[in-house]
Order: sequence, then C-alpha cells, then structure tokens
Amino acid sequence: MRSVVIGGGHLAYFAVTTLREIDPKGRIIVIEFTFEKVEMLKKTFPYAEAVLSSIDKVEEYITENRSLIDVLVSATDSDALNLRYAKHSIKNEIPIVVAILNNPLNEPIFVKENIRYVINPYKTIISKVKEIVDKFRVNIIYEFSRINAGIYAFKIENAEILRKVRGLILKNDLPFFIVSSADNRIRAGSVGDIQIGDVVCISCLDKDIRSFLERIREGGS
Amino acid sequence: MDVSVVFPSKNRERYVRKAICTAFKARHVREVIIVDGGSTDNTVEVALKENAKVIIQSNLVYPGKGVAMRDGAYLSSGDIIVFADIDIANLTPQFIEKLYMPIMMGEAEFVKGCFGRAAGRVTELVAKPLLRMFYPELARFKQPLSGEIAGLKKVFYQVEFENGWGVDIGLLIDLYKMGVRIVEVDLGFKEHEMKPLHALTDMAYQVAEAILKRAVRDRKIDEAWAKRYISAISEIDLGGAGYA
Repeated sequence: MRSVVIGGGHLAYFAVTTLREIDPKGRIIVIEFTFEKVEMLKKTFPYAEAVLSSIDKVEEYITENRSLIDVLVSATDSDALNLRYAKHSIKNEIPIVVAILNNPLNEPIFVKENIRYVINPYKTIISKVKEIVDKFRVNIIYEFSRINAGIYAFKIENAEILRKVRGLILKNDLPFFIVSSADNRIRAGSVGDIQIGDVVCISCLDKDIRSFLERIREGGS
Repeated sequence: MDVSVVFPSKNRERYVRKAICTAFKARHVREVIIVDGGSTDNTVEVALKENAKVIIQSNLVYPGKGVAMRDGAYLSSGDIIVFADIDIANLTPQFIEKLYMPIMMGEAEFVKGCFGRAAGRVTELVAKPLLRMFYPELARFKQPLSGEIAGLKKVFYQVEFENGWGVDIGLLIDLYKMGVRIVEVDLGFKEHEMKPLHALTDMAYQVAEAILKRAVRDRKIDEAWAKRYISAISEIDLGGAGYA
C-alpha cells in the first residue's frame, strides 16, 4: 500500500503511525511545508519518506502520482488546506481520501463537498463522556454523518433498562445485535435473548435515540 | 489575473450578503471566501446561499484573525487575494478594485489600504511608536494596521501568518523584509463599527508582540529584554469593561 500523509503535526503523527501498523511493508510519504519539520519527520519516522513541498505544489504531486497512491490523508493544521487537498484527490480518483479536522465545526462543509471520510477527533469526547458519566451508557459505535444515523451501544444495567430497550427495538423494528456479558461474543437473536449485563448495539436515526434517552431519563417509557 | 476576496467574519449575518454581492460586482473577482470564526447566527448559511466559498477557521481558540486570513489565502484559487473587513457599511466594488489595481498594473505586489480618517488608537499609541523605533522605513505608512490589503497569492505563501491581531503588522514587516514592492492606497472614507477601548487590550498586546518578535529576529533588539517586556505587558490589567 502506498500512502501519502500531508502535514507534519500531531494529527499527521497519529495517521502515519497507524498506517505503519496496518501495513508495515507499505510505503508512506509525508509531505510538509517547512524545512525544520521535514528534518524532524525524518528522525521521527525513519521508515517514511519526508518530502518538502510548497503549498501549491501538493496538488501537482497528487495529479502526477494519482495512479500510485492508494491512501491520501490530509492532516495539516489548516482545514482550508485539508479541504482543498481532499477535493483535489477525490477529483483525481485516489481510492481512499481521508481529511482530519482541526475545527469540528467544519465537518458539515467537508460532507457537503462529498468528502466521504472525515475524521473529527473531537467526536470521541461525546461518546467517552457518556461512557464515563451517563448511567444509561449509550456509546456511539459508528456514525453515518450524511443521514444523521449511527450504530449505538447500550449497556443493559438493570431490568428497567432491559424493558425499555426491548420496547424501543420492537416499536421501531430496529436491526440490532447483542454482545454477550458472559463471553464477550457477538450473537444475533430476538429481543427475548437480551439479558441484563449484555451490550445491545442498535442501528437507528440519531434523533430517535436521543428522544428515547430523554424519555428514559425523565422516567417515561 | 483572477482575484479572490476574503472576508474574515464572526456573527456578521447582517453584513455578509451585501459584502459578498458587492465583492462579486468588482471586475476580475472570481470568488469570495468567508472564513468564519464559529458564528452562532446565520452567517455561514447566508454565505453559502450567496455562492461564497466558506470555511470555519481552523483554530478552536479565539481571537484568530490571522488564522482566518491564512485559511482564506489557502482556500483561494485567484492569483491576487484581497482581504477586507466584512462590516464596512459603505463597501463598494470600486473600494475592492482600488486595492488590487496597483498589482494588476504591475506597480506593486502588496497593497495596504488607508482611509481618510485618523488612524486608530492601537495604531497611534502602539504600532507607530514601535515601528519608528525598529522599522523607521515603515513609519511612512499612514495606517500600518489596516486590514484592507491585497497581494499576489504567491507572496502570501512565502510568509507565516500571526494567529491573532498581529497578522497585519507582521505581514507588512515580513513582506518589506523580503523585498516585496509595497504601496499604500487611499480608499476614501470607511464607515464601520469602532471597538470600545477595553476590547483593544488584546489587540495592542498582540501587535506589540508581533513587532518585537520581528525586531528580535532581525537583531534590532536584545532578546532577553524583549521577552521580559512582552511578558510584562501581557500581565497588565486595564480593568476590563470599566474602561469602555
């Protein structure tokens, strides 16, 4: 796999180390705009190629190497640049184009520009705070940004929550699967198979899960 | 040559439509870019509706005028970039054309706008004294902090943008040091909202810091002294809203 990461900051650091982990033999090219950072990148990532470029030359590089690039990750400290490079890469039919956001408020703008893979590093704050603080334990497993839906995980803490989650699934005919408390294995089944201690993963619209959570917090059914 | 017009903005819903439409009426303007600072009103929605390119500035912490300008420059596709305040009540297409014309005519690579009114308080009390001290060759500029500027895109890509209010003076000094041809053009009368005095504290500090940083870099000043000075002025408390 040949990957190109644009940017030399901390966002790029995580992207490069992950790409290395996925494919230790793959080729990773890191493009940066300042000489000092390129020198630092060479030391930090001896297995990668650190390339010095000017802002305007990156697009030329992408176009020239379009048939060779499998993955492009735009991880500069400017969302404007990330948007520009991601759009150009999609136009050049790079198979996987990933943009990493600096400001989460920009996510809708990226989605509107048809950038399919947008990483919002701040999103985990929501699920993590919920995991730690919220007794109903709903975690966002995956989000479908375009349609405001996702896969949400509930920890079935007690009989009351079990009853309500069963009700939600039956009422809306939602697809779900169960992660068993006994052996951590995933199993399918009917709502009758859900037990206290299990984690139930439900796929539904974001608004449905939010109204459901509000109802159970207020003590409704 | 194509022109991109960049407006940094935050909660400027009532100005954004007029600013975009006016900018598009100027000759050679091919795109208008709104760099938003996380507006809570409908600035972004209105800008998108008016066919502006929109990005929200990359910094989560404000103020970040410099970040907004940098993002605007990075998103632009024109050969010339014009930056202007979005809240100019009497903005006209000619106002924008006056800014980029010296570049079109080959007379300059960077243009600084000035106005037919007295320069602001931070300009007179902070920027000009420091410029006279360290960069007397730039003291001729009537309004060195003016946010109405234009330049060749390739020129902006060769300098670092300060994050905050120091961006305008930083660009002026750095472009001058690079040998870029700079002219100042009189844009006439500018009608816009004035900031209250207490709102200028951060601006004054950031402008002073931007000049002193460059004075250290250019070996015009002792580094240890400048650091002590910058650290001291950052701790001055002007009493907040009581000064308004």
